Amino acid sequence: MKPQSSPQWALRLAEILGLAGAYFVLGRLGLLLSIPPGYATAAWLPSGIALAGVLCFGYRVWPGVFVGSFLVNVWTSFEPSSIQSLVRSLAVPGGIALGAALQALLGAFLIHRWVGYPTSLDREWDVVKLLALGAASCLVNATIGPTTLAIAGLVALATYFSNWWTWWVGDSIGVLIATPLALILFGQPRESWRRRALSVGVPLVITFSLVVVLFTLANRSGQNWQAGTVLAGGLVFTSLLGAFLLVLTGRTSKIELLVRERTAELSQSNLSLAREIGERQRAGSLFRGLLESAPDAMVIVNGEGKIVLVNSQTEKLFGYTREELIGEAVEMLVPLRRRQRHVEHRIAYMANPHARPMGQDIELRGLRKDGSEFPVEISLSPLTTEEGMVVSSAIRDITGRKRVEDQARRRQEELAHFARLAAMGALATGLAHELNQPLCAIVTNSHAARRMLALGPASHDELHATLDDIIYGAMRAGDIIQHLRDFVRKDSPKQAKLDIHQVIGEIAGFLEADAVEHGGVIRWELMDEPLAVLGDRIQLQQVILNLVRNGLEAMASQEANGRELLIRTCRKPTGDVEVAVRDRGEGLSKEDIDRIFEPFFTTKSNGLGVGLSISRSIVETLGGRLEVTLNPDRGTTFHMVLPYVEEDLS
Amino acid sequence: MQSDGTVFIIDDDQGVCKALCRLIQSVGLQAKAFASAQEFLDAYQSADPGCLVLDVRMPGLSGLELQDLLAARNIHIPIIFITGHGDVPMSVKAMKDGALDFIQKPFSDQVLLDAVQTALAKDAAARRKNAERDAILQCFNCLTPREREVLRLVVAGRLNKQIAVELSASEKTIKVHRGRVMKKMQAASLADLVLRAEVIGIAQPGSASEAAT
Repeated sequence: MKPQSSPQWALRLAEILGLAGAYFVLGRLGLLLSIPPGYATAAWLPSGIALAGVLCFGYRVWPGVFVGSFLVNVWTSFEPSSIQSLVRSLAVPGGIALGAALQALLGAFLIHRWVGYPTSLDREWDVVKLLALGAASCLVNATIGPTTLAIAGLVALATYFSNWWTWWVGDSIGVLIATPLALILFGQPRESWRRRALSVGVPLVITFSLVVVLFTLANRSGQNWQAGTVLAGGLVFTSLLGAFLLVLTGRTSKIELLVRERTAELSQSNLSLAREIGERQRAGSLFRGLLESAPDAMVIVNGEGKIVLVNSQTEKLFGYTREELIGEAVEMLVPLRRRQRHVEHRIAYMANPHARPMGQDIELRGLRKDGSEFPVEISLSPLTTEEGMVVSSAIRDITGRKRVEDQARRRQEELAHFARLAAMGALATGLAHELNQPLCAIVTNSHAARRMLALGPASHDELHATLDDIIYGAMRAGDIIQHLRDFVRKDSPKQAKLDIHQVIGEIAGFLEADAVEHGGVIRWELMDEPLAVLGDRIQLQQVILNLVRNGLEAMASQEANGRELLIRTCRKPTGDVEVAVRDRGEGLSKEDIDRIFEPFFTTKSNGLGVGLSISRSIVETLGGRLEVTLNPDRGTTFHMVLPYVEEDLS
Repeated sequence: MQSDGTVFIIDDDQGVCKALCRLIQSVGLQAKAFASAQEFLDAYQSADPGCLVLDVRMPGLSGLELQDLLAARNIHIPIIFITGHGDVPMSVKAMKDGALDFIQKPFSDQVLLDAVQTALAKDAAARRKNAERDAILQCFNCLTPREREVLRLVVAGRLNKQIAVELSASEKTIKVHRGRVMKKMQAASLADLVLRAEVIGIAQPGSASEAAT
């Protein structure tokens, strides 16, 4: 057995015994109100108690009704004088008790079925139904009771019907009066029944007591019919009063309930409103806080290009106060010469708003109140608000960054220049050789010409050709010197569209002279068509020179006839232009390949190790890349890959 | 001195090649230009008389490498090196290996032309000497073994009587042999015979004095 079932079982027994006790006590009192002749009384309150008991405690308490009813009836009719009368005096109360129990069960069942329980009876119709069903259930014992008596011969058949009627009326009035009272004491929901104690219970008890007192007085005066009338009328009145009060209180409680519900709803919606307002306020202050704490100047512009909101950084950056800015066209922060274009761009942006940096590829500038300009970086993002679309722009002053970038670029240019000078030093002997060739040709041709002069007019044609060659040689020497000067001059790189073949062609002499100097030979595999790239002529030549020189030096230890350096140009499948320089040297180790483009990395004893690192940064500045691969057979190949430029762009 | 030799010019620079040709032709010499050492090797026959004007540094086979190659093939054409830069170790090597001259670019026409003339003359002389020796060798080849023995002893300075004893023959017989030798070797005198024998390497210097002791 479970531990808790023992108290529950005891509780049930207590309920049954309590019900039996209440039935018995009220039954004894009720018999005082019986109208002679017979057993039926004017108001049989136990029937109301029985119904309420079964309703409140469940069908299982019916034995309480049975026991209560049996005891009440046995008390009055117990007669053990003979066996026959004993049996009768036990059987008749048994039959009546069974009827009482059945009646209570049926009444409770009907109420469950049609009204429902627990109920606070706050609708008039429910009150009427509960009482009517209670009264209807009383037909059960009104039938069983008198029938039992008749069978036992205690009631004459002639009075059966009047007995039946009296029984039913008595039980019904008992239900009408006692059930509400019992429900006030035990009914569910407790809250709504307890509140009826004063409004229903007290008036009902008082009225009932009054009726009983009047009846007793009338009875004592010996006027039986008067007493009967008072009792009957009073009881009916009491029942109706009970019903009326129930309806009244039901309606009140209904209204109270509605008011309470409505109030709860209202306070609920108040609460959520308050929360929403709080949230909005928080969001608003969060937004303002974010706006103010943003590191950039924030300028929020509406669809017409008018400034609607700025932060304090904007004031600091542009030198205007908030009041001066708000409501003005945003173009007031743009330098004059760019305003028109800004308006056009703004309108285009509004037509297709999306978050993006502003003015890609061009240098943006801001205009301060004092008329000074400064470089800025701006990112735009559209915001949809109740007032329509606005655009928030974050403006950053990049003067400092620009300065650092400029400095870094200048450093790199200086380094590249330095590297060119160093390369020139290394190339000096090769250059001397290259320059010597046209000079030698000039001198030799001049000597030949002088001798031809001595031969007279016959040799004039040959003399002409010789002079032409002298001029050509001198021009060639001049070109070499000019190019040398360009090469070592400290110039900022100028980007232009160039044919890579022309760029290479200009230093082909240098390269071949350098190859001869290293005891090597250059093989050319250049495409026939021109290959246009974007870059600085001198820088590109510096890179190529560097790669060639590297290749030649890598082959220094090879057999004389194996020192072939291949220079090849081609278009990659991606369309990019590639200049490949392939050597036949010893190649590089895996570690060297990884590090070869690092500054100051060198495998040579006399190298600085800056050539390839500078070359790579030059190529990358042009949007290209410089890579090295190992040849399958011998040596390495350097690939300079540059973006191809469409011919018709110029 | 005019010769019929050709000046072979090898320089990878076309302008220089052309100018050199022109200069050499302007003094009435034959010139032939090649852009690389390999081209020259492919075209040259060792019988062609002349001299080489050769750039030291060239792509591919360099001037010095060509010099070694020719020496290995027993081709003794005189070589004048021209170079863009005075490289002392290189010029020393070239000269040691028999180069005729080492001229620095750019050069005066006279320096080059003189060197070319000298080279051609040297080549011509060498060729003449070779031709002379070939002729004497041809005569020598006509001698019988007995006559060769007599020749060797005669140029060694032996008297007829001594030779007769050495060869176990009569002095008269030796006289006859000696007369035939003189005739076959086309020698005008004893001194002439000794000279001829020397050209083909029969007369050892000092052998006469050795015989005298």
